[in-house]
Amino acid sequence: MPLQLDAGGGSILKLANPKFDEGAPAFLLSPTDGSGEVYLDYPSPFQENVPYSDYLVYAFTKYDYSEGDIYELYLKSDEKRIGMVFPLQAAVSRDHEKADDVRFLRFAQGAFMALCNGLDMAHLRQPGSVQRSLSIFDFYSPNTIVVCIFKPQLADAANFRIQHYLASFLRYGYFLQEPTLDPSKIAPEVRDQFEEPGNRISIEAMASEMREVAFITHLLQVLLPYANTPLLRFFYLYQIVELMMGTLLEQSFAEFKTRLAATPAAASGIREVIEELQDQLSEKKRISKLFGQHMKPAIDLSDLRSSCNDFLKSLGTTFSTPEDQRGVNEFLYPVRNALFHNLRNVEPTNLAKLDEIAVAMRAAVCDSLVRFSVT
Amino acid sequence: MDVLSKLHDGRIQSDNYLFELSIDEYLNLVKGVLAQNEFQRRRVSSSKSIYSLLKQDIQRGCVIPPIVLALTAVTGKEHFDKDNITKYIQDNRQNLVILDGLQRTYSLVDLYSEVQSTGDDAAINSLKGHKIRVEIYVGINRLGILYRMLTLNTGQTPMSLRQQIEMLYLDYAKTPVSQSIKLIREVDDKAAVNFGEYNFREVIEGFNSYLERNELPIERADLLENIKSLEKLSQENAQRDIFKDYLEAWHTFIEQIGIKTNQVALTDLEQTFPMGKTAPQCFKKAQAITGFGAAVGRLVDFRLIGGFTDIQNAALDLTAPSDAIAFIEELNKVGSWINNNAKRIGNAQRMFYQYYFRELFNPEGTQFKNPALAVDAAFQKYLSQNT
Repeated sequence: MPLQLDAGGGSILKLANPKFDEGAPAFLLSPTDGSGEVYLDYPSPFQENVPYSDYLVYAFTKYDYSEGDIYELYLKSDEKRIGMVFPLQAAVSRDHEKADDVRFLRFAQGAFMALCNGLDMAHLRQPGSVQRSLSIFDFYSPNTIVVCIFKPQLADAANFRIQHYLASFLRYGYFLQEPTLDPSKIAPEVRDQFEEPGNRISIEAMASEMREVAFITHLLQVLLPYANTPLLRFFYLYQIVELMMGTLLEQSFAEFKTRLAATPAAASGIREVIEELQDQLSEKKRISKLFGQHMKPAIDLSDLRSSCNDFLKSLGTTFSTPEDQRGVNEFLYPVRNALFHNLRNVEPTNLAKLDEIAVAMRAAVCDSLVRFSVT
Repeated sequence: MDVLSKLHDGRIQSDNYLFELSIDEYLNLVKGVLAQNEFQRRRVSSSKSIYSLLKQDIQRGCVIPPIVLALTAVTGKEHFDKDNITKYIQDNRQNLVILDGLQRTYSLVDLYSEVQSTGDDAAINSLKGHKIRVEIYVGINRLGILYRMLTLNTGQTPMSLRQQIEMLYLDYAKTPVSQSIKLIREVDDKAAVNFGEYNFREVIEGFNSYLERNELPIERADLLENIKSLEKLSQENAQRDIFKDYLEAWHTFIEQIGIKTNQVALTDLEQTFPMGKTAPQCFKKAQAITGFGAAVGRLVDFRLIGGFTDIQNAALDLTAPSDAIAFIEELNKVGSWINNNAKRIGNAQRMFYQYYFRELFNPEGTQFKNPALAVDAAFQKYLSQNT
């Protein structure tokens, strides 16, 4: 969808065909109604032969960033460099260290031109009047982070889906912008405490069983970022745990049916199969099995354990197992139960501990979505 | 050259005449003007620019948007009407200024030359006779015309913000200052690297920061307010002196900071220096001069200083850093911190410099006239406001 300009009186101008004017310097866009062109300032040196159709460009949001946070983007699966991630501000600034780096400038320009063509963002801001000299930030949030992928670097660019990588990006604090929602309304509590990228951002696709689940995309892109309380965020994240457990349970049912069909019609054999299934219906055992056997490689749950233990201690819960040796069925599951079944008895001061749990839970769930394995 | 219409513009108190004339008549009218058009940006040189497309379209008979000229040197006592204005303009064509349409004019000149070189009489005559429209403002009030152009979006090729700022402050480029100061404009197409040379746009930004008491970049919406402020000041005739004093005070500071640091330079080849390798380099940038302007403005408002004369005197009496290298390194450490932490590096630097100059030139402060001590004091102040 092209960039749109509110011309007043209910009239919306659509802008298209960015062309660089070196005298300005800026990109000139032409309103589709043929009226006067519009400038979008672009102070960076123009790079020749940068066909923006060579790039896949996505607009994310992040709050805790600096202008110089410019990263190479890698696919973790084959350690292949596929693009760059950078604040939109960096593309139009001459102040950071990569301001004259040709590689960066090419990505920045490709991304800028793609953004001039509007991506697929229905919520673009509309400048309030038809001024002819505008900024890219008249259309995009100032906290926009650009993910710019060079298509020739992808094995299968036509089938690349950014949604498959949402969990990876979320690990670093990047939320994919949702067309109908205002990124500036993302809950403040969701804006920090993310993994630091270091020199690069490496992304992995979610497990094959998870990546096409529409609910997960919706949750990561819409529900979670705009959830204003840690309780709500915990609830949403736990839905993903439930979803993964549900996937395993279906697999158990399928195996049960197969084994039952193959079991001779003798009571002892059938009873054994049924008892095995009953055992697997216990949520406590299912959650243990999920994190214990179906995360490859295993996930570091120490932060989640620590924050859950802290919360449970504040509720007066006692355990026989030492704190650092408790499994998810002994720290995560009891927290879930306390919140779902006993919230009315939780002191408000203890509810504040949910912030830490929500942060740790977010990291754990992002990792689980990538490492989940049904085998 | 036919007058189609005359309208009076009440906002800028000027008459606007709309003419229809042939390309041949137009080029004869403005040929002496092209070399001295002070309003416009330099010629766009790319052969792939939209102006190449324009030349093709003109040959196909397209109607180009009206070019806007202004006639200066009108005393206001003349009485013009549709009958005598044409002759008056032609007789005083040397006083014409192209306000909007320079690139289109260049395209017409190029096209004329190209077609003439073909020797094709039919094509030459067709081009010569092709009609265009030209608006001419008589009795120019430059600020008012700029105001009109900004608010009414006239002209199919708008100016960028940078161009608008240069136009707005063009008079200041002619302000007589000391011989050792030279303002480099965009049309000069060179960088202000030598001692005493300053980028005109940066100087203007700094002056604007002084007027507005705000170190941040001029925003589009602010430009209209700037015009109103300048109009008000122009009535007092004072702003020209203030600008001169401002620029000379800044020049003195740059000169003295170099002298007081013995012009030393950082030499570590493996490091990058975000602020600069020498003390003058650390300050000879837009972020510093805007911080300077805003700081001085605030010191004036707080009645801590009287004006730029006090700054000039303080700059001449700066305390030499005991370790010039450490001083420059400290500035660069601040620059590195900003680079690694600020969402808008340029704005963050401006804010730092604004605090820096407030520390440096505040007579009641403990860092008064001490460039080295002012660095940390300013940085702590910046941190307290931003973290």
